[in-house]
Amino acid sequence: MAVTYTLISSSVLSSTTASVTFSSIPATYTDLMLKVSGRSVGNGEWFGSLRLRFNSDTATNYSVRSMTATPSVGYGEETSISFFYGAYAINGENGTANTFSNAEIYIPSYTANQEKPFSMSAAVENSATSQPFRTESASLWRNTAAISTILVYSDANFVSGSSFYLYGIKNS
Amino acid sequence: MQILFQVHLSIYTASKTHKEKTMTTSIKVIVDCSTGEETILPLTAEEITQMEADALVAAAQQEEAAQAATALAALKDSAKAKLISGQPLTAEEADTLVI
Repeated sequence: MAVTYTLISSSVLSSTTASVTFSSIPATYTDLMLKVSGRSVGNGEWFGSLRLRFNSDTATNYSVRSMTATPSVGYGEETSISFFYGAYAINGENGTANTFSNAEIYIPSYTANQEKPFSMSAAVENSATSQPFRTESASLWRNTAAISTILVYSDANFVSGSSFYLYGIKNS
Repeated sequence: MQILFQVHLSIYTASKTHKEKTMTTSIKVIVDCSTGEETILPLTAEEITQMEADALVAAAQQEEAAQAATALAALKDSAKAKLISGQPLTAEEADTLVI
């Protein structure tokens, strides 16, 4: 159970940006939480995927199991892949103007000498088409190294105003 | 459900093509958590290549998921129709109904 939340670092974009990297993440916390409020531009759609890569690991070490729900249907997918892939996790350029998604990634025991399970909960807002999406995923980074770098990117670019907040959480 | 997945599949195909055009001029932000310093740099050629490779992987994954969902929906539709008309189900069709 989280007792303390400390903002480690944040970034609020002032221009269109392809990726945000949190580097030199201190190993002094128990868990990490990454909050992303994002909107993409460049894919011509009203949604986009949120992607993560830990410690620059490009091997197929990420297991992703996710469920996505819309007002009318839901579906799940499961894969082993070379990056975390959260489908339908950020807003796209064709969605309701000036709306941003809410995504929260929780990484427990990020320094433990074990493979790293983590979760994502995200909502894509779109009042214009009545098609907001909700995506929940349970994932595993199959690597025992402490997480010291997190690369955040998408299938397109993040627009100005997208924000990224990385929190450290201690259990005592 | 089938329509939804078909739409998503076409969306991802289009996205991948457009993305490869936009990434080449993009920048990246690096936040050093030990100092709080934020650095803005252009993407390197290697990073662009990696992102393009990731896009292809994601598109393939999305297509695979869409095809699986479409196949499952077809099985369910077939099972439902057979139940209504009193015909026996195949094992695959029964699996979609029995948990």
